[in-house]
Amino acid sequence: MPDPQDIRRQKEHSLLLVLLALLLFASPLTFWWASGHHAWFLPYLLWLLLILAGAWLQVRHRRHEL
Amino acid sequence: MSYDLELLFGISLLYLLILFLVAHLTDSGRIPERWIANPWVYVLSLGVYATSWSYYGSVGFAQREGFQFLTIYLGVTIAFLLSPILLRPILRITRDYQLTSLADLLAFRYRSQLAGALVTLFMLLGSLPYIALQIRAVTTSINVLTQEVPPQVLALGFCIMLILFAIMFGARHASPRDKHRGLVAAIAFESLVKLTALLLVGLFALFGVFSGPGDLGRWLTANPEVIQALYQPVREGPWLTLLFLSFSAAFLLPRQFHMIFAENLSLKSIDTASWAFPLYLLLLNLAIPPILWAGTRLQLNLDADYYVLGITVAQGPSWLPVVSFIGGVSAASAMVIVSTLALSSMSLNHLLLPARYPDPGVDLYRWLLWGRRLLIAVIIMAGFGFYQLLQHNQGLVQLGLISFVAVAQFVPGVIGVLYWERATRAGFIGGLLAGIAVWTVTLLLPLLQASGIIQQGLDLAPLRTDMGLSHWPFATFWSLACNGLLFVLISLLSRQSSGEREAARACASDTAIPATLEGVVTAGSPAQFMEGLAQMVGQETAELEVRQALRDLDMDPDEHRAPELRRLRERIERNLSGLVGPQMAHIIINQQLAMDSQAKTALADSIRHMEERLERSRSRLQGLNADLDALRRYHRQILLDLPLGVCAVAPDGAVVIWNLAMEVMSGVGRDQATGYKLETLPAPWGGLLAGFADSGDEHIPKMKVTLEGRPHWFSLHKASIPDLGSSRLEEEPPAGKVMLLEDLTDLETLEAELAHSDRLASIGRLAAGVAHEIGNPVTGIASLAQNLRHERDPGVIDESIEMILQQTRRITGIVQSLMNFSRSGSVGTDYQSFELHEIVDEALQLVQLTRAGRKVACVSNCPPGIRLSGDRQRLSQVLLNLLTNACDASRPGDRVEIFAFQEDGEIQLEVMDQGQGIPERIRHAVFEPFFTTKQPGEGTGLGLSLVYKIVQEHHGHIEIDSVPEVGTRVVLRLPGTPRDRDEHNTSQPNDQP
Repeated sequence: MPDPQDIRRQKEHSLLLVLLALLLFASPLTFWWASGHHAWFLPYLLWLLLILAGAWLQVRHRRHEL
Repeated sequence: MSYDLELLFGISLLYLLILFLVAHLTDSGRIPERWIANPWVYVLSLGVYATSWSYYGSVGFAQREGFQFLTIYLGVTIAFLLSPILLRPILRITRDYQLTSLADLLAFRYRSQLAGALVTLFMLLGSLPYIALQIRAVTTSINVLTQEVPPQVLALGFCIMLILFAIMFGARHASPRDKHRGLVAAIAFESLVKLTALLLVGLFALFGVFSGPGDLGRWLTANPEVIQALYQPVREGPWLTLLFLSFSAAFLLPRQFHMIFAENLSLKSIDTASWAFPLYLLLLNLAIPPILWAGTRLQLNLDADYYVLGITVAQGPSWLPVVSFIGGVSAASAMVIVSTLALSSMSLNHLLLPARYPDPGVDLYRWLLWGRRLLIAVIIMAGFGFYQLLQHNQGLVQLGLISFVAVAQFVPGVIGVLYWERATRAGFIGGLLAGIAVWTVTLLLPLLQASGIIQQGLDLAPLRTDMGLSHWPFATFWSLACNGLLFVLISLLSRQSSGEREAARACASDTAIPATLEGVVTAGSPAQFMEGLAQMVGQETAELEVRQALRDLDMDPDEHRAPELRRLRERIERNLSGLVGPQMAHIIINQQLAMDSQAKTALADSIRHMEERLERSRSRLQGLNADLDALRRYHRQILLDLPLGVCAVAPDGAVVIWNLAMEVMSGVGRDQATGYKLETLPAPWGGLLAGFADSGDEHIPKMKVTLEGRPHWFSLHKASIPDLGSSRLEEEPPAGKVMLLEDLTDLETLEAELAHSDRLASIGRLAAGVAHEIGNPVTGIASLAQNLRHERDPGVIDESIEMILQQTRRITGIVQSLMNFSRSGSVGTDYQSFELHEIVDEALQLVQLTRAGRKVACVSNCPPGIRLSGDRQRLSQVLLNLLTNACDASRPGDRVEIFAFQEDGEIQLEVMDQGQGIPERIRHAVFEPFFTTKQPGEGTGLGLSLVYKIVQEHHGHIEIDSVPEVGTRVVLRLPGTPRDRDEHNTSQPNDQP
């Protein structure tokens, strides 16, 4: 049975990640990286960053559960 | 380079056969279960999201809208990152209530068949263009490869193959509640195939068309406008709208909902998917820009939607276009199969069953199975029909986005499911109808008009221009604005039914407080459940469903306890929900397993069930709920760990709480007691506790129970539990009773040993007197015997013999008194009726053996005829202890007198002495154990405490009047006639092992 505190923490982390996602992909920052003066793979890098952050938090959470 | 149509058809057929094989090997158990249960298989199966739109259409989308094509996957990423807040709660609800589709979920939450039907119809309407898109992608890809228009029969053959696959591996069971592992494995395999194929094409673009990353870099430097073309639309296009649409599509599209929730095997999988599925999508999209640029460099005379094929045909090795084609078939077939399964399940539960419920004589399982199979065929063929109707002038993305906007109309309803308990059925239906209307006007009609199906539609272009919105933001905004606004307004203005309120509470993730199960089911046993259900679902189905529910709950088929039967009813409803949908299951259960509206139930009845649910949902409790739950658990633990036996019963006599001490004392386990009526518990506890619960006594100080041939003593307390739910506590009947049992056996044994020790100590003190008293007659006997040696006169001899016998009788009397006094008997077992003066005389005889007793004059004023009922030996001990104390306190020559008389059925016995008296300051302590004023070695301090206890046991009273230097009077009052003694009579009916 997962600890309620763990679940709450997981939800908080999830919200923080989504805030980061919105910052990267749904804020004026989007217009900055979309200004066209960057490498073509920049959006992929930002996307990967988000995924890695999610994976890191997930692994951390699972270790905590164990 | 071009390929034969037959070759491509054969390859498609071969690929689909491999798919059949993967599914078959999984279903037959040849692929280990642990592989299928692996989270990565689940992640890959979610890849069904990437259809031919993603596979082919992304390149065309990227060409037209630049990096906006990424929004279709970034929205999904956000939805999956929100997994603990968004997906897990939905998964919990769908698992708990056996809901297999979005229509099930919404129909369950809003308790409305109409809502379910509306959702299903709209899903069908929104999905048909999408299914048509997949068929078109496959036929167009054949067109690209063969350079000729494929015959319609090819598309038809493709559809028939998909129908066969979906029926064989997606509709194996009558109920969608059963997992389809074969299907999951096949879809995961498809995802792997399309990812591999697209990455291979991407690598070919990079190293085949370009000469590697360096060459690509140089080409991009030479053509900076191609990068500009990617970034430019992000700044100007409907970026946020597309992000939102893909966010909602990530879990609301029928195929997504089916794979994420209905086919999920473990919570761990969804945690892994929260980041692994976005990673899969990233890998899938990594190849898109290189493929686009390769097509641009090769200057293909082809719609960019099909560059994935085009570049391989133009310049690649001969096998690569085939691989690329298989990837496309894979993407299209996975989407069609899973979408159709989800839609068929929805259509069956929310359209077909309510419209034409089968006769109870028909085998329901068979009917459902074939109904689902028929619907699968109908839906795929409808998609094929839609494909034929559509003109081929719509891009793949356009057809897909129409479906995305359609499913986005369910977002307000889902918010009502998860977060807004106040949302009502009327609000949801009103909002959805408005959303559908706007969607039809802004998207469907223009599509049909563009396809030539209708001639004239509404011209919304001026309105769009006025608002400064492009096509997709315009349709999305107005459909959702009308939908959301009406949803909120109507919800606020309308009222919820009680069923809706209960469902809303069950769904709201932050208030996951389990509902109490109120009421009593009219059916009194699982057999009666079967009879009731058979009238609606048929005998065989009813028996199977009731047995399944009994197995799920690990319940006895002879169960008759009301709370357990309510659980069974609830479980059957959940199981039926997985079979025929939540609303139909609700109707069947309410009709056939009605609740008795007259029967009153108490909170106590539901306690066990509530506790079980709370245990299961503990991890979901937060804030005050979590604190209250912690408090509940704390109190419960106190009750469970209490060293006293605790037994709480409901008003109907059913046991609600049976703690650990109770289990140890009685040997009756909690499971054997909880929920059962007291009188049905194993002997002797059933009769004992039921008798005490019904009796007027609130306390029984000592009750003897024989367990396994040994006597045990218990003290019992009882109290009523007020009904805390009632506003008039004093007027309402209590909500039950609580009984406490204390095991006194050890204490009783110890006291018996102490009393025996005290008697032995008394005998020790008597020893000198005994020696003296026995010594005198022995000396006399010796003298008489010596004289007899020389005596010849028969008269004198007879006289001497008589004197010897007299002396021996005296010795025998003394020895007998000592023996009687000192023997160790069981406590409370020797009740008898006897003359009071007999024990008074015996006690006097014994006390006169003591040194102190010989110095005082002990006088008995106890008349014969006063009969006493009790333990003779223990009452003798009382008298001896009192007389010993009196003699010890007396000065030589004083008198110690015993008076006894009977008055109003009560015997009063007084022991008076003329001794030094008891000082006021220690009088309160004289009955305490081990309290003594004597010198060490002269007294144990147990005498008066034993007197007090023995008198109490005989329902008597003891008082002490004492005046220092004048004397002391100890007054005993004992009941004179035999009466019902608790420790004797009450134990009789239960006095059995």
